[in-house]
Amino acid sequence: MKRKATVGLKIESDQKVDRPSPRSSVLQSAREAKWILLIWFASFVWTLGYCTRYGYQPVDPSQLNLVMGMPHWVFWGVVMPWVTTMIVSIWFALFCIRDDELGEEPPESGGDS
Amino acid sequence: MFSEANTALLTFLFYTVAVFLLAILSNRVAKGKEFVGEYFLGSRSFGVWAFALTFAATNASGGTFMGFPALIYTHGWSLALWIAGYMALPLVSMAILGKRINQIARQSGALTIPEVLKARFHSERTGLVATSMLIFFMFFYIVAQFKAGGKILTTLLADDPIFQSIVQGTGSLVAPIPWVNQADPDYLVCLLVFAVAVIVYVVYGGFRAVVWTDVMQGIVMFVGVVLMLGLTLYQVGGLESATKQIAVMTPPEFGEGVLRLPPKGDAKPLEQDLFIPKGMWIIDGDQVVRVAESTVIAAGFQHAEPIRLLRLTTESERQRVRDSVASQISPGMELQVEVEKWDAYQYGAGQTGVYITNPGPSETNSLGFLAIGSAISFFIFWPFAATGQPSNLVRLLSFKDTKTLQYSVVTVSVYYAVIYFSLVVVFCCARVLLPGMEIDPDRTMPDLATHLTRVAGIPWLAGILVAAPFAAVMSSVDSFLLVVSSAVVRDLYQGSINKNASEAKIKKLSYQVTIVVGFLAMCFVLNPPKYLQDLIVFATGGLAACFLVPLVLSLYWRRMTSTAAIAGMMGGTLMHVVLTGWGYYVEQEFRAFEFLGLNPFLWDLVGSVGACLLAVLLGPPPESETVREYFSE
Repeated sequence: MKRKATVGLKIESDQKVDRPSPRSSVLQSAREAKWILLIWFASFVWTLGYCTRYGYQPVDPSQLNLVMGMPHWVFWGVVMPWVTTMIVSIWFALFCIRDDELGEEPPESGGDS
Repeated sequence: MFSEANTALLTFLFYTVAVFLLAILSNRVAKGKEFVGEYFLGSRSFGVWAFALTFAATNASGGTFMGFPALIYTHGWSLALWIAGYMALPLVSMAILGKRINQIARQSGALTIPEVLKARFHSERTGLVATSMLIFFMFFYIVAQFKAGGKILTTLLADDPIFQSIVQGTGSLVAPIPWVNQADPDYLVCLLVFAVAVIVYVVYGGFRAVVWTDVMQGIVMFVGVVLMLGLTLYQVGGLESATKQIAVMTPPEFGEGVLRLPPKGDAKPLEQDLFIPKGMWIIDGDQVVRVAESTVIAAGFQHAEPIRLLRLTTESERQRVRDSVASQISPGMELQVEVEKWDAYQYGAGQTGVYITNPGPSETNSLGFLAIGSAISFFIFWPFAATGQPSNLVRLLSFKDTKTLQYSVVTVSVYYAVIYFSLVVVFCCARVLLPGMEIDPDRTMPDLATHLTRVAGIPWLAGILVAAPFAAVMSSVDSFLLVVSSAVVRDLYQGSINKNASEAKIKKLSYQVTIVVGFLAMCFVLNPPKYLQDLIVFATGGLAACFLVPLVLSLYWRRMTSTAAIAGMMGGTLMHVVLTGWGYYVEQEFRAFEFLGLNPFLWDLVGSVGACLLAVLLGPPPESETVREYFSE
């Protein structure tokens, strides 16, 4: 089984193993979980930081500040962090989550093969 | 061939046939495979599309297509911030636990979440506590979803003449049956049809049928929302035009009042009853008023009984109504509105710009719809509550390899970004296209679908659009039904009562339990309790509060013990129950108390973490053999 290198995570790359040791897999999953929490926290800080600062101010309908047809706080405080988080999520899923072996199919639960 | 009245019925018939076909196909695929693993987990064989779409569709319940649009319509652009927590939801809820829980489940042969906990600690007691909690909270959830299914179907089919004749027949049929006759006949018919359809396909097809129908329903939801987005933006003249119109809007006013015929000198007295339907517009001088509940002016009388009315306060909205609604009652007969006092919104009354900024208008809360504390709470609540939901967790046991998980995170991330943000845009624009939906915000989605397709000259398309909320409820209720059935059969019966039960016995019992649970849920909502919507919130929060922390610590922390897992489940649940009780005591409503203005879920997590840590610190260390089994090199 080929296990790919991941960007930004300290894990062994291109190792040929039959099955990862449970401990190696646990540590890797825990490491990935920490990075995921960091991504979530970054999106939290951006969204809540921007919206709290600019999204709670009263507006004058004759002097609207719109970006792509939506209020500017929605564009910069929700749309942009959403798109960024989506791109980071995709990058993380494809390149940072290690392709670990999930284990043998338990004999009592059957299987397709 | 298609008309507005029968598109919904045709859609529903198409749906029912499609899900039954999928169930039959699923049943054929399952032949020859070991029953329990196939019925409850599809033999852990699902690839990217099946896994991603079943995960996405299960999360998007009826609320996504009925409640959420209603909130957007009522409170405006602030819903963009309210739902923003979904941006990280796919990554958080799938990837934090996905690989690890799937590995442990495979290693131990676990098919359910209680089984995972039981296997992790080799503790029957832990599994039993988890099963009890799961059944307790899940039952409320299923009950609520059955009600939502019945209600949505009622809304969709309301104008269909065939449906109305069936309703009349049912009404006279159940009239002599006590308790059943208290339910509205239209709701009764829809509930029965919905429940039978779901129970049959779940029983016949099992987890595989549930996943396959989820895939179909997930595609329908996606296509429906994207089509709505295009039609809405076109008809409203672009997003910029819509936002500018929303910016000048001020919230409507509600009042209890009487509809009166003009003085006798001006009009003929009524020779027969005049029925005034819910939703009818009345233009009385400068006032533009909408009827919020049906009423009748009896023959010979001058006025109806007092009813709830809505009055528009924005001139552009009033003009739109004047232009589109000349007169909905007999020509020459104009009703007059008498209301003693119009009630303004607690927050946002008379303020322009309130729909395009936070906290958004609120009829009942003087702080507005989304105070900063609530915005913070929801950003935390959405991704982490989803992570702790057993219906999501059990899906993490079913993907076949890590690649599937990786590509599914990609798929669901794009799916949610498109669906949720499109819904915000569509239903903000709906404020411009459909004034006065505040009388029944839950109808915003089907009414907008009908309006958009009628204006575009393609009424048959309404069928696809209105199918989205129905698909969403169906894809949630089937999953919950199976989770409860598996808890009873696999965890209680096979795990504790009869460990050596034959496959034939388990198969028979699985079918029976699925039918009985579905039937019980249906009976429970024949006359839905008043606070059912609050019970949904109670169940969702309770499930996440109960399972999230114990599961995360069990999967990642070597020192975690079975006692600590039980303490964590009890701690989270207890905090949830206490805050709900406190909320009831303070507010006289079945709603958890928001201590320091934060979502109760955050306090539940604090309770659960505290209980786990205390139990680990005070209790004996975990058995070294168990630790070696799941953590050693």
